[in-house]
Amino acid sequence: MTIYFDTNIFIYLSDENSAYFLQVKDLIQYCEDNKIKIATSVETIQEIIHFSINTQDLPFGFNTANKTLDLVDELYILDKKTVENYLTIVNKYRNRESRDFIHLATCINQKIGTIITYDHGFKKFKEIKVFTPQEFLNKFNL
Amino acid sequence: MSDQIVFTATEARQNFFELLRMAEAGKEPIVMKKDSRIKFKIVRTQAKKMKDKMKIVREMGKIGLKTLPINQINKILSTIHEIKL
Repeated sequence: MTIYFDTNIFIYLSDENSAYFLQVKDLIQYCEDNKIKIATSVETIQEIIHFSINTQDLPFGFNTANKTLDLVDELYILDKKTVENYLTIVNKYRNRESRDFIHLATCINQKIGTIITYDHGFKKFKEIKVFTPQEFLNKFNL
Repeated sequence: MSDQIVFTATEARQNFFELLRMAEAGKEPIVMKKDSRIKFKIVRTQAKKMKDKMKIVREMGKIGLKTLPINQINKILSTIHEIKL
């Protein structure tokens, strides 16, 4: 099984004092124990860098991006099929952020059924199951 | 590029174990095929290193990236595709 991590998961993981660090850590431990692969896309790396530039935290953003590359089992590129999925989804959900569609299109293309995020806006998408780390762990009564 | 040499299944099976025996004994792993002597090279490969994800998690926690509430993170990320003229 593979689950997809949204950008905010890696951001919260990059500060042990953040409100969600322990939840994300527990989720990754659960994934390790249960041989669940962690995936994300190149869009996530781009967003981490963009976020750190805007918070004037670029050196930390580089560290987060590099450690994200170390952490994930799969980093998906945006190929033609993904972009085709992206355009279909854009046409279907016109009121959401464009970048969200890239994450969703990647999941659809890679046949990943679960995305982990603190962005509740993803719950509007019918194509995928959306959980926060805690919600995902609650599924297994952890 | 050398010509392809074809072994029968029996020859391949016999040769495989013979090659292992020779390599284990520290000899050059050579087998005969009709009039030719074929030398093989046996190398030890490193087992694939498993990544220690929890170590990476601990290291990430020490980065100290400035985190914000999710709505503020989204607000910043939503500016990705803005074109500033």
